[in-house]
Amino acid sequence: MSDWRSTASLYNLEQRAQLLNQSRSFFSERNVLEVETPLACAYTVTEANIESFGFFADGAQRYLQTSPEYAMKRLLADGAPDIFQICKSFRVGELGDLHNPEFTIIEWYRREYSLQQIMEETVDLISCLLTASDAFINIEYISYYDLAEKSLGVSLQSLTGNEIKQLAVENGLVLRADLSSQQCIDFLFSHKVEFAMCEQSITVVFHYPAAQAALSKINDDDDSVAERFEVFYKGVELANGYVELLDPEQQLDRFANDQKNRKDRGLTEIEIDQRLIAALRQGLPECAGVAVGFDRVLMLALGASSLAEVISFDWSRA
Amino acid sequence: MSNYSTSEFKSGLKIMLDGDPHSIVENEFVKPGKGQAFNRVRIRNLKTGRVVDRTFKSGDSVEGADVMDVDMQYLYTDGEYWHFMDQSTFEQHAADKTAVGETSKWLKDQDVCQVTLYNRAPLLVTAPNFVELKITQSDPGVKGDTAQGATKPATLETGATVKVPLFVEEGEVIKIDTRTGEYVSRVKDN
Repeated sequence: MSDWRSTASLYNLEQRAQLLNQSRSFFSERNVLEVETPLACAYTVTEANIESFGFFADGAQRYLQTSPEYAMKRLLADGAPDIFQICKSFRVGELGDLHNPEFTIIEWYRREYSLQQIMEETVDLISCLLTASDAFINIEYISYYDLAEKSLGVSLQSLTGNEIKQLAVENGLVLRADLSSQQCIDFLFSHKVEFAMCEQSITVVFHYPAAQAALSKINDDDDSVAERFEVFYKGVELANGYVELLDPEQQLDRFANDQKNRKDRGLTEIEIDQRLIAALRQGLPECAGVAVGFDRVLMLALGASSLAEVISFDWSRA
Repeated sequence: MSNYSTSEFKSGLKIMLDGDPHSIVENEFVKPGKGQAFNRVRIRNLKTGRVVDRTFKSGDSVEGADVMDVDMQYLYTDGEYWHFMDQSTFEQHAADKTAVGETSKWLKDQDVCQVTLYNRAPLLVTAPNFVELKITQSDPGVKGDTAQGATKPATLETGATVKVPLFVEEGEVIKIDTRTGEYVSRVKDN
């Protein structure tokens, strides 16, 4: 029986501690306040692609948080300044070399930051963590649709739903009757597009399609895209950020749409977080926020090939 | 046959795809943070041996393939079929040319092979990694040709031809790696 042992080497655990310190210095130098928010909450995300661990305690439903986003937004609406948090997050079923159902997120919010400002700060943090070894990393900014066209050789916007499905099948997706064209786009993006990125660059992909806005604001000049970005390095998704949606009614619509998606897929019903909605009604200040997958950054910084190598006890040994 | 969900995918699992039995070689979980989760698998078609990459939406289920690997003793061939016996049940199975394929050239009576059964019929016969076979014909090595690694052809009792070092002679038993088809060593008589 050896499954009581750590999956990470002592050296990797020391590096983990060092990068955590470095992350905290990064924010304290920038006057961003460290906060902690609850991990076991009464509400959780409604998203169809994210499954929360739920449990009953004292006769009431609780959920382990899939990200600290809602609670941090409630703090902002309640008058908090720029804030950051380093915490555990939990997602059911996300298990693989690049996934562990319990993982560490660095999340922060900047008041009045533009998309450009928040993207640059995210790149600053990630390159500072990746280049402990002084290596120079190139940075590339590209819009979602430009990147898709560059790697697929065809503009996603010009394709019909059926053509998108066709393209997905040609690229190896086993098509089932219930696949939506959005799911086929997710397939193309995670199987073809991400691999077409330059290995040597940190790639920042911005202006995601409005249908994938999640909690981000729609672009003022072009309502087909959202003020959302992601950061990739060596084909690995490291960060996801938004200029935040402030409008409570639009947010409610999106949550209701999530609920409909969950229902269509036969997933359990999730209630909308009324405390978040109440906070948005009170007024979330103009802000931008990002979540960085800390374990993945650490994995790449150390040249490891799976998260287990940088987590003390991975899911199989937790 | 039961169905398997993508969460049960692991290497070695036998599933049906496009009407053919396949074996999973590799399974990888892929998920964009905000998007649909997938299982990207590398799978081998057990009929053709072809390896392809396919992706399933996580949560999908796939029909299992009724495929079993069984160790069986090779008995004989009647020219059309190769006959094997399951040593635990003594049940006999006849494998056709498609199932035996190139493996036929390594088959010697009594040797134990791996027979892959699909719907209870032999689909594929895999020779043992190493076989010991007698050389039935090989010309003597030419004297003076002492170049390192020099070889000559030798015909074996099963009809296969392999390259052997010059010092190996007709009538000797040699060990062959069936995966590469290469000579390994001479086998000393007891």
